[in-house]
Amino acid sequence: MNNNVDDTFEAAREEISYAYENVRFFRKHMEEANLSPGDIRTPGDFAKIPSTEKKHYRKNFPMDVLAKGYTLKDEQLSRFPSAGTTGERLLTVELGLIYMKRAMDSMSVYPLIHTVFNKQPLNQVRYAPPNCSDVECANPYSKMQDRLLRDGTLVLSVYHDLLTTPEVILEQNMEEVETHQPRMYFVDSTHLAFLMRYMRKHGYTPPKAPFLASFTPCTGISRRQVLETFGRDVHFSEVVAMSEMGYLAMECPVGGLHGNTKSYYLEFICNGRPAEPGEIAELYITTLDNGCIPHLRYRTGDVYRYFDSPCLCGHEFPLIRIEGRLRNFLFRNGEIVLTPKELDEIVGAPPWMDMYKLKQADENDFLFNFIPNDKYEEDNEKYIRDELLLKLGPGAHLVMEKVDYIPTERSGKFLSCVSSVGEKIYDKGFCL
Amino acid sequence: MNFNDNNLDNNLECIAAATREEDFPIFSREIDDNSLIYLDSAATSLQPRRVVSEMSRYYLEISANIHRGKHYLSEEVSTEYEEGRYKIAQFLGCAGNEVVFVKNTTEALNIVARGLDLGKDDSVVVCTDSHHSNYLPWLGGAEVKLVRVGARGAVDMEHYRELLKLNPRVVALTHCSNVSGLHVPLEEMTRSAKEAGALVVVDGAQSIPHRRLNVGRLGIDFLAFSAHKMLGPTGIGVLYGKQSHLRDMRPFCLGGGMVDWVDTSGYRTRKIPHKFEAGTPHIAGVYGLVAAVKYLEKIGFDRLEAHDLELSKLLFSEAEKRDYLEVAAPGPHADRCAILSFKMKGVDDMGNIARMLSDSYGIMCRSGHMCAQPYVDYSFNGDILRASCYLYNNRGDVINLFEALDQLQLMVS
Repeated sequence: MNNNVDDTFEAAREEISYAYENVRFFRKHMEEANLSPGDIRTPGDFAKIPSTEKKHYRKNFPMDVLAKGYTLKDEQLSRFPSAGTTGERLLTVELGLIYMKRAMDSMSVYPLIHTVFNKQPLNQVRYAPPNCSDVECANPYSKMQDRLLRDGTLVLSVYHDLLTTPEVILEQNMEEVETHQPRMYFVDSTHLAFLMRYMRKHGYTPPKAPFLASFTPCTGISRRQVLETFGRDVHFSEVVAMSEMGYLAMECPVGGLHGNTKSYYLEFICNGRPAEPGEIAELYITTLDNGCIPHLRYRTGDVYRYFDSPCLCGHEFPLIRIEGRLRNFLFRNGEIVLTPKELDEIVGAPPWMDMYKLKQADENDFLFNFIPNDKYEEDNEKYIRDELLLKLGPGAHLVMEKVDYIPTERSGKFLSCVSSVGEKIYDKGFCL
Repeated sequence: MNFNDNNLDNNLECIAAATREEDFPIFSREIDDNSLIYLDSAATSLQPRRVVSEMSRYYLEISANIHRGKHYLSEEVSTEYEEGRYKIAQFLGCAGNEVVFVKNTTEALNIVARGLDLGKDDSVVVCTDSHHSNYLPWLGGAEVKLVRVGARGAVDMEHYRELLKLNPRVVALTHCSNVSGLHVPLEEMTRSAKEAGALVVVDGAQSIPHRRLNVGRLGIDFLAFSAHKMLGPTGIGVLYGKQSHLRDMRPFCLGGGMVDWVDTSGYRTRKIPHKFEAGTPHIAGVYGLVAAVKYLEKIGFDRLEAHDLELSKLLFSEAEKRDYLEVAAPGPHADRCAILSFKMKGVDDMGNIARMLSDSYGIMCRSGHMCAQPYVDYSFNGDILRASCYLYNNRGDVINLFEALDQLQLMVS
C-alpha cells in the first residue's frame, strides 16, 4: 500500500539491485531463497523475498551489512545505537544526510514544524530516555556545556528510571530550559509530562515552541498534561521513529499520523499477506536510499493499521495508526485481546490520573497500576476496570492499584502496556 | 503451581499437598524413614523449585557480570538485575533507587548504622528482644537505650514513650521478634518516633515473609530483610532507604562498581543505590529473590498472613495444654506469627531435644539463643528450642511436634 505506488515500488526494486550487488548479506539472503533482482517485477514478487530481522543486522554487522566502499571510519557516517526497548540492541551506521532526508520527508506533513526545523539556530531541547548506561549517566554533576551537542541541541539530564529523577536534576532542567530558550522540543511525551508536572508545581512555564514527541507512543494522559501547560494551540506532533531508520511517520496538524512513503517502501503484513485497510498488521520496511546499510523487508515488530481514506490535511502520505509493539500485546489463549493503543483508548485522558501501566503477568493475571493526582476521587477508575474486564474476557484476574511509583523499562523508556505472555509468544516467532 | 482459592481448610494448608511435593522436592526426603517436618523457617526457609531454577538459569544460560561491559550477555544480565530491583521496589511500595541489594539483614543494618555517622551525643532506641543484627551495629557509635519488654513479651509502650522524650536520633524497631513471634505495633511506634524527630529503622526479617509492608505509607526511613527467610536464596537481602537519606549516607564498602570517577586525588561515587553496591553482587541471588517474591504474590499475602495466624494459634494452644513447657511470650496475643520458643522444665540442654526431634522424628527445629541472647537469657536463663512455620507447614506438622515432645518429655524430665 502506497499513495505513489509505482514510483515507490520502482525505487524499492532499485534498492534490491543495489543491496544485491553491494551487500554480502543480501546477496546471500536472496540466493538462499533462489532469487535474484530480476525475479522481482511486481509487488507480489517482492513478497517472495524472505523478511529480515534485527538479528540479521546485528549478526552481520559490520562486515556483511555495510555496502561496498563504506568503512566505520567514514566521517560522513553517523552511529545510531539502539539500547533495545525489547532487550534486542542494535548498532546501525548510516549517512547523516540520509537520516536528515528521511526526517525532512516525514516533516513535510507538518509544514510549520518543517519550517521551524530549517531555521537556525534551533536551540532544540531533548528530554527523553538517556542512551547511556543507567548506572553511569545523569549524575547531578554534569554541566549544561557537557550536554550541548554540535548542532546546538541541549540534552537534559534525566534518570533511566524516570520517577526517581531527583529534585536537584529537575531544578537544573528548569534552569537550563530557561537559559537555552528552545525553538523546538524533541521529547518523549511521558518524560515531558513528568517534567511539566514539576515545572507547574513550581509556577514555571517554559518557552512555548513546537514539540516533536517520539521514543514511545504518546498516551492520552501525557498529551493532556502537555496541552494543559502550553494551551491547545501549541504545535505538538507525534513522531514514529526507529533508531535503525530514523523518522518513519509523523502526525499532521489535524492529528493524522502519516507514514513516510517517500523514504520507504512500506508493507503492512497480516497472516503473511498484505493487510486490508483498517486491519491489524505488522509493518515491514524497505529503505530506498542506496545508503550504507540498506534494509529489505525489515520486520519492525511494530503493529499498525493503515487507512485508504484521505486525511483532512490533504497530504498524500497514507494515514496509519500505531497499535504498539507485538511483544507488548495482551494475549489470552494465544489470541490478541488488547493492543497498547486500544488500552490507551480505554483509559483516555482522565484529569485525575498522571501515569498508568498495565502488566500481564501470565495468562490470567493483569495488574493495572496508576498514579492518581489531587483530582482523584474514590473509584474514578471504575470505568477502566469494567471495560478492561470486558475486553480481557472470562477468568481474567485484574488488580487495580493506586501507587506513587511505576518503574520504567531498563532501557529508560516508559511503556504503558507490557505483557510477559506477549513476550514469550513473540520470542517463539509469532507473526501476524 | 496450584493454590487453593478458598479459605484455609481444616488442615490449615496454605498450598495443596500435591503442590507442596511438586514445588518443594525436599519433602520427598526421609530422615531414617521419617518424613521431613521442617519447623525452622524463622532461621531459613526452604526454596521452591522455581527459585532454584531461576538461579540455575542465570548460572547456566547467562553467567556474565552486571554493569561491567558492553557485550550482549552483560547487557542482558544488567537489565534483568535492574528489573529485579524494580520488582522489589513495587513489592515494598517505594522507588527503584531506594532498593539496595545487600548480603542480608545484618549487612543492611550495618550500612545504616555506619552510614548515619552517629556520634557519642546521639542515642538509639532499640527493642530488648532484638536480634543481634539490630542491636550490635548500634553499639560503639551512639548510646543505646533498650526498650523493656513485659512478662508476656510485648514491648512496654510506656517505657518506649519515655525513651522518645530523650530525643533519640534513631529508633531501631524489630517488627517481629524471632524469639517470641510477636509483632510490635509498627504504625503507632513509627508515628511516635517521627513526632520525636527520630529516624525509624525497621528489621523486617521475620515479618516480610508473611505480610506485606508498604514503606511509603508507613513512613519508615529504612527497612532491612533477607531473601532466605522468604523462600529465596541465602546471601542476598534488601535495604530500603528513603532517597534523601541514602543520598546523604556514606557507603562503608568501597571498590569497583560504586564510583563514577577515580583519579589519584580522589573519587566520585555513583548515584544511589549503586554507591552502596561495591564489587560484584550476588547476581543469581537477585534472580532467586525475585522468583521468591513472585511465588509469594501468586499465593497472595492475605492468604499467607491468615495461614500464619492460624498456625500461630495452634502452636500456642497446644503449648498451653502442656505444663512441662515454659513458653516465651505466653498468652493469647493476636498479633504474632507462627513462632514458638520454649524450654522444657527441668531440661538444661535444649540442643539435645532438638537433636532427638530431628533424628528420631524427622522434625527440624532450632535450638540455642536465637541470636537474641540478652532477651533469651533474661526470659529463660539459658538456651531454648524454637519451632517456626511457613507456608508449606500444616496442622499435622504442629501436632506431630507436640506428640514427639510428649514422648520425649517422659524420657528427659
